[in-house]
Parts: sequence; structure tokens; C-alpha cells
Amino acid sequence: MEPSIWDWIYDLRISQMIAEGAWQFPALEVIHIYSMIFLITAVALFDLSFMGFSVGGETISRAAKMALRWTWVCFGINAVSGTLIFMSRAPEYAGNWAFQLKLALVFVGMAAHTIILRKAARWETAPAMGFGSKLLMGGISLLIWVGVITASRWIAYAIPEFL
Amino acid sequence: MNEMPEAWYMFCQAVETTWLHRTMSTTNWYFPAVETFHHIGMVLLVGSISLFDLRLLGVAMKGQSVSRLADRLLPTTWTGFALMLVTGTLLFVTSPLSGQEYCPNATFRLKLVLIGLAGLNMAVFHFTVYRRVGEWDKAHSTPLGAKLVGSLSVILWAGVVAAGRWIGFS
Amino acid sequence: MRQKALLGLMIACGLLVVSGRLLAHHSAAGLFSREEEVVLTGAVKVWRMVNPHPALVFDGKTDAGAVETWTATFNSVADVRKHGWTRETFKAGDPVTMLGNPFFGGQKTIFPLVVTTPDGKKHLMRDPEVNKAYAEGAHRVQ
Repeated sequence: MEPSIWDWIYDLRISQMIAEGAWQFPALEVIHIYSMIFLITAVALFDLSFMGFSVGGETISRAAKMALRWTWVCFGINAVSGTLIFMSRAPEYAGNWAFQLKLALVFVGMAAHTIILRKAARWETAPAMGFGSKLLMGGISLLIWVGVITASRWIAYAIPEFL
Repeated sequence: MNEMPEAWYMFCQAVETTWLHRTMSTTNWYFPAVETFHHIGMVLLVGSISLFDLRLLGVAMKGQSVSRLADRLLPTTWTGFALMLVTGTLLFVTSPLSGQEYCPNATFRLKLVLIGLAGLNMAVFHFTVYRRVGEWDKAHSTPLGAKLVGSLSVILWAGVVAAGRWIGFS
Repeated sequence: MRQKALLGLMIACGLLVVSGRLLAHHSAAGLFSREEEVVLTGAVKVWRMVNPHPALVFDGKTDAGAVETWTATFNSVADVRKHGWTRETFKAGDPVTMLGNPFFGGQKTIFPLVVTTPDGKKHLMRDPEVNKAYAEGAHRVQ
């Protein structure tokens, strides 16, 4: 069988260190999850602000600016830690449907969130939308990130080679 | 195993005889499903507490009324905590002595201790520094006590998250 | 805005469809039968000495049955390293014999008890007495 790019990544020294090391893998997981908590919290804070519930008493444009910064800082941390974890077992992660779903949802979530946030950073007040529409958007945002968490938990169970 | 209290071991043995244990440890998708809700609760709990800690530390939402923030965050914190308690118990029940063996696991017990300390930290804060919140409610610079509690809270909850992930590796 | 809402709805529906598939998927961790034991002999396909659980994928058959692809899942890297194993211990095509407990639900995953490595050595991965004690309703005593 031809070695794929995933096999090549798996064979790198750093991948092996993470795969076999005593503390590297759990440490990366901890960083990944801790950063995830703040990413989702930042998303939620803006969503709430958008729906009219300001937790920190900020204007919506200020909330958008802060959320933009924090979601991308956390995303950066997650991308780095996630990539390192991925590398330690690239072939199996690459073909894992739960992992693929997770990435797709993260992509959609970050894209949609960023587009809205950049618009919102210039708003004087919250947009004149019906509360129902706002609630729907907030609900979708919630679904996407709950989906990310769910897909993540299922990575280890999606294919037998992971157990 | 030797340093484990007898009562704790006997409790774990009793859990292994329950219907809940038998069902959860033999039904395939229970663990990841419960774990998902455990993580959702973790975001609610640690997220909301961290926001409050950041205010106490004067890092975020400066000038926002501390007491108003606390009131706003508390429902989320309690929801998160309730979810953690229920899902945490359900996860524990899957294998206190079989499979994952949570019972003798030192990291698991450390996690419980850290949660207890975090709770204690919050209680102490509530009955001391927070008593006089009226004096510093909107101050950008909070009293030293508040900053100490905030720092300790951040460290303890980060420790809880870390211990939680490390259970499977010890 | 409405397009994003529509996209979100499509994702939600996708999640619902997928979750149905999730429920049908018989995968599990640590959910193996302590009473049943099975011996499989065969050839290695893939050896992953990785966190969090090392995995050995191999084509194995019992005395009676046909050849099937099985996955042996180990407790930890530290556990297998105790036996002196490395990434090079198993190569594709190497012979392997696996005595262990199969997982519930008919999935071809096994939790190893005794592994015979390609060099012919037998390795005891877990205490079989513990297995028997659990199977008989007792619990771990030390």
C-alpha cells in the first residue's frame, strides 16, 4: 500500500513524541479543551448581546470587537493544539467521519460568526430584527457549537481503530 | 489502593451492583453521550465563573457592577454545576471498579478535592469580601481579597479541567 | 442573514440525520465481556503505539471461523512499553496471536489478555484472575 501524506505526518519525530509521550498528549488535550471553553463563552457573550441580553453591560459594537478578538485567539490556540494532536495519529483522524464533521462545523461556525461580528463592530445599536429571528440565529449558533462538542466526543468512538 | 478509605471502596462496590451501572456499562453509546453533556456543563460552569473571576481581577468588564454581574451569571453557573453533578455521577457509575476504575484513581479524587476547594473559595468570598461589595461594586480596581479569590478560582478551575482530562492517563 | 439561517437549518438537519447513525453505531470503550474469551491468530495490518489507546489492527480467525479484521485495544502506551514494545514491534504482515475479551455488540474489537508477538514471546497484558473474579461478581481486591 502506498504511504499517504497522513502516514508521512504520522512518521515525523514530533508526531511520535506526542503519540508515545507520557504527558504531551494529555497536556495538549487540556489546553485544547480549556481554550474551547473560552471560545464558546466568547461566542455566547456576543450572541446574548445580539439578542438584547448584555452580560457585561457593553454596547453591541464593543461586545462584537471583544468577541472577535477572543474567538480568534482561542481558535488559534485550538488550531495549534488540535493540529499537534492530529499529527500523532494522522491516518486515523483524517479518515474519521466524526473528526471531519467537527472540522466542518468549526469552519461554518467561525465563518458565520466572523462575518456577523465584523458587521456588528460598526453598529450603533442592535439591528432592528424581530426577536424571533434573533432567537433563531442564536439557536443556530448554539447548535453549531454544541455540534462541535458532540462530534469531538464521538471521534474516539467513530471508528474501531480508535478504541 | 492501600491508602483508599474503606468506606469509599465499599461505596464503589455497592455502585457496581446497581441497575444503573449494569445498563450504562453495557450500552454502547452512553459514555460519549453523557460525556457530551458533561462538556456542555463544563462550558457553562467554568465559562461563567471565569467571567466573574476576570471582573474580580479587573481584567474584563471593568466598571460593570460586580453584584449585577454576579446576579446575571449565577443562573448559568448553577445550571452548569447541576449538569456537571448529574453527568459526572452518571460517568462515574459506568465503571467505579471495572473498566475505567475511577474508584482508586488518584487523579479522579484530586479532581473532586479541587472542586471542593473551588467551592470553599467561593463560599469564603461570599461571606467576607463580598459582604461589603457595596463599597467597591463599580470600582475598576477591586479589593485585594477579591483579586486573591479571583486568582485562586481561575487556578482551581483550570486544575479541575486538567485533572478531568488526566484521569484517563493515570 | 436569511441565507445563514437557512445554512444553519441545513446543518441542524444534518446533525439529526447523523445522530441517528450514531445511535446505530456500535462502538464503545471499555465495554467488553469479561466472561467471554476468544483466541485469534492472524497477520498484522496496522500497529499504532499511540495515545490515548494503542491499537493493533489485524486479520485474525478463530479455530472455526473465517478471517476477519479485528482491532485489539490496549490500556495505555505505558502499559505496552512495560513489555518492551516499540513502534517497530509489529509490522504489516507479521504473525500475531491474540487471546482476549471481545467487546459487546458483536463489533470486532478485543481487549487483550495474552499477546504472542512476532518473535514468538507471550505477553500477559492483564491479570486473568481479576477477570474471573469480576465475572463471578466479586470486585477487585488488593
